[in-house]
Amino acid sequence: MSISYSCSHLDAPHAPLPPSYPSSSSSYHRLDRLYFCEECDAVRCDQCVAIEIASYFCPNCLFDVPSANVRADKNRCARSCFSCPTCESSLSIQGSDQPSENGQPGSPYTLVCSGCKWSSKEVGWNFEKPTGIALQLQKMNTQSEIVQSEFDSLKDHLESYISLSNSNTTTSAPSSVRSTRNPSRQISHLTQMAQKALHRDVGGMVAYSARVKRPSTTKEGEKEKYGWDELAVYEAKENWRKDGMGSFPNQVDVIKDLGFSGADGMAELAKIWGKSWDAGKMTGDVLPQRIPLQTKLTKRCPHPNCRHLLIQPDTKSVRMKIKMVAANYLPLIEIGRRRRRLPSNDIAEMPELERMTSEELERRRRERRRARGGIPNKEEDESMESPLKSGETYTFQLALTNPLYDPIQIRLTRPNPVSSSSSQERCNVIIPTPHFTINALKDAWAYDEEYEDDGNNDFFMGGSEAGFSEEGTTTTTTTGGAGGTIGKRSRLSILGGGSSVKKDRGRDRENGVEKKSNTSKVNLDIEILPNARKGDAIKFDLEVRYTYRSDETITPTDTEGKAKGGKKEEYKNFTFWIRVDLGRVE
Amino acid sequence: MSSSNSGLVPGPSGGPLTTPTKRTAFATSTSADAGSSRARPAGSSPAYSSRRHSLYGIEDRVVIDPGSRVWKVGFSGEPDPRSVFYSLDLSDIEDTGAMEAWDMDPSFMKGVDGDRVEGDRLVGVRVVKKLRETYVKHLMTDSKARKVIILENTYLPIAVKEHIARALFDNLHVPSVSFTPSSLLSLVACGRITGLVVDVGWLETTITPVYHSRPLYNLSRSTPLAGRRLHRHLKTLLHHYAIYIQSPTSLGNIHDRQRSTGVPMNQLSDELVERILTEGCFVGGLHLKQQEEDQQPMDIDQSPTEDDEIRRIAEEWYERYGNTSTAKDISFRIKSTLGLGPSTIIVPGWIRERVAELLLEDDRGSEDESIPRMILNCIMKLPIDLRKSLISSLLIVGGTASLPGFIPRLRISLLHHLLPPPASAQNKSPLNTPDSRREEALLWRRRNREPYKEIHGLSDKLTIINDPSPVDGKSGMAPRWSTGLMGWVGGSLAGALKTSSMEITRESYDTSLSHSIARGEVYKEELDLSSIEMSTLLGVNIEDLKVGQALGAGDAGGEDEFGMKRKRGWNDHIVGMNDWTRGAVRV
Repeated sequence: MSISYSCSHLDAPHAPLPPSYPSSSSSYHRLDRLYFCEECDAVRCDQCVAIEIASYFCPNCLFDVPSANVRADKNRCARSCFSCPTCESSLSIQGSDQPSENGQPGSPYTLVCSGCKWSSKEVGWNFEKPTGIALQLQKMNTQSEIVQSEFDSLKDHLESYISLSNSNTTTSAPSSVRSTRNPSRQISHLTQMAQKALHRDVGGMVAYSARVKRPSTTKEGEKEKYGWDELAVYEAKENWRKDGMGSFPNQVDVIKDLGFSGADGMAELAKIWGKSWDAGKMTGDVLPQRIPLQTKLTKRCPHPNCRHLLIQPDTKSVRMKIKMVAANYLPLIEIGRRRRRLPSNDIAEMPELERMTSEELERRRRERRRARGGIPNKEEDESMESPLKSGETYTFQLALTNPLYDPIQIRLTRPNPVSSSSSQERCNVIIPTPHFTINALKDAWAYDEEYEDDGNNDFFMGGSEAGFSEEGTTTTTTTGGAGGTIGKRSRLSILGGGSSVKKDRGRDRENGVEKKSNTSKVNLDIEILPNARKGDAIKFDLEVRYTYRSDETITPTDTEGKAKGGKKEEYKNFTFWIRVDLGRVE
Repeated sequence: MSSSNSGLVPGPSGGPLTTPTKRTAFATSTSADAGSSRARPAGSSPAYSSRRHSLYGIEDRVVIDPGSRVWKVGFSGEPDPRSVFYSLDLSDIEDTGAMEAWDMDPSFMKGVDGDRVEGDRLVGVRVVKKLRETYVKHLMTDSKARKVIILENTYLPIAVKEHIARALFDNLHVPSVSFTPSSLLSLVACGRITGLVVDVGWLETTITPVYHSRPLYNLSRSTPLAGRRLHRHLKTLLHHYAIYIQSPTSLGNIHDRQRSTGVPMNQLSDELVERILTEGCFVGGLHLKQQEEDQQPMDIDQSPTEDDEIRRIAEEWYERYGNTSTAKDISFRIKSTLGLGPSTIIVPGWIRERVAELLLEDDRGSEDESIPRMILNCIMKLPIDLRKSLISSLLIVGGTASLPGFIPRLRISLLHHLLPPPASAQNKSPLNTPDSRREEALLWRRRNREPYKEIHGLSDKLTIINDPSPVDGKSGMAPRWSTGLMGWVGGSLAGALKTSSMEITRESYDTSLSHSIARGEVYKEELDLSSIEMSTLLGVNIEDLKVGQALGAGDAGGEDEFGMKRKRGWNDHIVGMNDWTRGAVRV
C-alpha cells in the first residue's frame, strides 16, 4: 500500500514502463526521496543526482572526522567506537570490577555489549586506558599486521615480474603519461620483448640444462633468476601448511559435531565474508569491528548544463543550506479508505470495460455519479491491510495535497501504453473524476473563512448534478496540442480568480471531490480482474498533470497557458507519473 | 654494491664496455648475482620506478569484483575489501523473486517472462544501483578521482560488461576502467602467474587455465554445477527430509510441539537456505557407493510432474546417502510469523555432509559433468607441455568453494578419477589363451570407464595450491586468503602495482560510443535511402505491400494492381492455390 513517484532521470519526461516490467521499479521512488531542479523543471532522484561528500561523522560518537583521515582509517571510526560481533549494537567501555586506589573503576578496561552481554574478555581484549581504544588495539592486534606483511611481500614479489616485463617502457617517459593506445609504443614493446626472448633459454638447448640444474644448486629461491616472462615461486609467510598437516580434518570434525547454530556454531556469512584472510569460520572467531562512518552528502542536478545544487547540508548542524525536495513542488498523493463494492446486477451486466468506448465510459461514470447521490451505495468499508480478492471491485479514495501557494488543477489519466499489454494487467482502473482542482496552501486561519463560504454555497447550490462538466465544456479554451480529454477542463475558470464567490461555487460543484483546505479527495474504482492469481501484486500507474500559475514571465513558446480576458497570467503544466501499489491478491 | 659493477658486464650479444645499453643491462640480470639490478634498467630514473603508495591516495584504484550474487568492493593496496554485499536489494527480491542480479541469458531471469530486452534493462538498472551504492555507501569517495579495476569473470556476459561500463562512465564519470581477468588476479594473489583456476561461483563453475599470465580462454570450460544448483538442491532436500518444529501457538504446549518431517516451502526462504548452507553444511570424505548400477531401472516415464520429479530426486538421495554420514543433526532457530517465539529446523547430518556431492559426484541422471571430471577434461584438452605445470598448480576459488572440506574432498575425487583401478594387473593369464582374450575384451569394454588414462601419469603431480589441509610437499603453499576473496585480493595487488589489463579511458569510451552511434545513424540513413531507391525502382513503397505481394501474385506473369512484373518463384504461378497469404492480393 504505497505510492511512488517517477523520475525520468536525464531523459525527457516520459511514462515509465508499466508495472509488469520489473525494470521500471527503479524509476519510482517515494516522494520524500525525490528532489526537484527548478532550472531544469524536472524531478531528480538518488539514482541520477551527482553526489559529493560534504563531511564524515561517526554515528556513534557523532565526531566529525576530517576527510584527510578517513581513507587511512578505512571509513571507520578511529576513536573508541566498536560494534558487537554478535548483535552489532555499539559496545561500551567498562572498568574492571576491582576498584583501584582512588575508588574509581580502573584498568583493565573491557568492551561490553549492553545488548547481549558480550564482553571483550571472550577474545582476550583488555585495555589500559578507557580512551583511544582503536589505537591501543592496533598495537595489540597482530592479525592485521600479519595480513598486511603478507600482502606487502606478495607485492614485492610481483613487482620484480612487472618491472621486468615493463622495463623497456619505463625508460622513455613516466608510465602515467604514456597512452596505452599509442601504437608505436606497442611496437617498440614487441620488439624489445622479442629481443629478450632471444636471450631466453630455450628448452632442449644447451643452456636449458644449466638452468634446470640451478634450483637444486642455489637454495635462495628469491634470488633465483627467471626469464622476462617467468615468475619465481612465491613462498607465503603464512600458508596453510603452517598449521600443520592435520588442520583440515580437525576443522571439519568440529563442524561435524555441531548440534546447534548460533553462538557456538559457525559464524554468519555476513560477518566473515569481508575478511580476506581465512582466520576461522566459527562465531568465536569474529572480532568486534570499528563502527563505519557515515556521510553528509551534497547533491547536484546531474544535467551536464545545469549542475545546480539540490541538497547542501550544513556540516555543523542538522539543517540543510539548500534543500530542493520534490515534496515542495509536487502534490502529495495518498491512498486510503478502501471500500468493496457488493455485487449488484448493474455490474454483472456490464460488458468488459476495455471494449467500451470512451463515450460509454463517460456515460457510465455519470450514471454512477447520479447513483451516488440518490440510491445508497452497496459498498462496505474494509481494512487497507486485508488482501484483495480477484474479481471484486473496490473503491479507494485518493487524497492529493497541494504544496503550492496557488490553486492547481489536476488531470488524472492512465498512461498511454496500458492497453497494449492487457494480458499482463491484473486490474482495471476507472477514474470517475479525472479533472478537479486543489486549493492553495494557505495559513490555517485563511481556511476557516473559506469553510464559512463553503457552508453557504452548499446551502444555496444543494449539490446539483453534473454541473462541473457542463461548465467545463463552456469555458474550454482552445489549447493547442491538447488532446480529447484535456479539452474538457475548466482550468481557467477555476484558476482565474481565486477570490470571487462565483468561481468558488463552481469549484464546489465538482462531483465526487471532497475538499478540505489544500487537500482534495477523489474516488478511484479498481476492478481486480479474474485472471489475477494468488500472490499477484496489484500495481498500476497513473499520469498526473497539474496546471499551476507561474510567477515568471516566460516567452509564449514555453507556456501552454493562455491569457483570458486580457489578463496577463501564465499557466504551466507539469506532468508526472505515480505508481500505486495496492498490495497482493488473496 | 655488486649491481653497479655487473651493469658493465657485456651480455651475450657483446656491447661495448663503455656504453651500457639496455641490452647489456638486461643481460646482467641473467647473471648469477645481479638480483637487485634487474628491476631497474639503465637509463631510467629511480623516481619513476618506485612503486610505493602515493601520499594522498588518489592513485589507488577502486577494485570491484561484481558477482551475480555477491559484490566485493574496496581500494587497491589494501588486503581487505571495504565492503562485501549482496547484489540484490530485498525489495528487488520481493518484486521479482530473483536470486541473482543477472543470469547467463537475460531471458532466463526471474520476473521478465522470457523477455530478453526487459532482462537486459533489469540488469542495467541493478548494476547502476549497486555501483552507485558502492561509491556512496561503501567506499564513500568521489567517483571522478579514481581509476577502476573490474574483475571480469571468464564467462561474464558481454551485456553485463557493457552495463557496467555504461554506469561507470555515464553515471559515475570515472576516469578509466580496466576489465581484468579474475582468473589471473586470483593467481596473482597467490604470487603466481601460471595455474589452473577453478572458480566455483554462484551461476557457474568456470575452469580457466592461465599460462604465464595469459588466460587461455579457448581452453576454459564452465558448468552450471555451482552455488545456485547447490542452493536449490539443499532446498529440495530440506523440503523433504529436514525436521520442522513449529513455534508454540500458546504457552500451554511449549513442550509438546509438533515435529514434522519436511519443511514447508514457504518457510524455506532464500535467506534461510543460504544460512543453513553456510552455517551448517560441509563436505565429507569420499563415499564409495556399492555397485548398484545395473539393478536400477530407468524410470523416466514415471515422473510426470515437476513435483514428482523433485520428490524422486530427494528420495534417491536419501537412499544413496541417508546412512552414510556420522555428522550430527544441527538445529536452526528461525523467526516465525505465527505463534510465540522461534520455530526450529533440524537438518539431518547426512544432508549437511552430502549435499555438496551434487557438485563432486557424477550423477547419471543429469547430463552435467561433475566438477572433478570437468577439471580433468580441461587438462586433457590442454597442450601436452602445459599439462604438467597446470595440474601442479590448481587454484580453487569462489564463494561456494569456501564450504569447509570442499578443497580436500575435491583433491580426493580428482585422485580417485586419476588413479587406475587396482584390480587390473592382478592375475594375468598367458598370452593367446581364451582367458587372456577375455581379459583384453574386458579391458576394451572398460576403456570408457577410464577416460583419463592418458593423464594417469600426472596423478602424483596433482597439487592444489590453496589446499587448507596439505598432505604432501607442494600443496597448500599459497597464502591463506579465503577462496571467495582471492580474486579481489589479486585485483588489489594489481592496483597497487599499477598494472591491469588495458584501460578504457572515458574519452576513448565516449568517442567509440559516438562513433558507433554515428555508424548506426549512417546505416539507418542508408537503409532509408535504399528503401526509397527500391520503391522508386519498383514504383511501389515496400511498406505498402501486403502479405505475400512481394513474392508476386502471378497469374502466369501477369501484372498485379501495382502494374509491375515480378520474378516468379518456383511455384508462385500455380493458379487457384488456396493460400491465404496470396488471397489478399487477388481481392
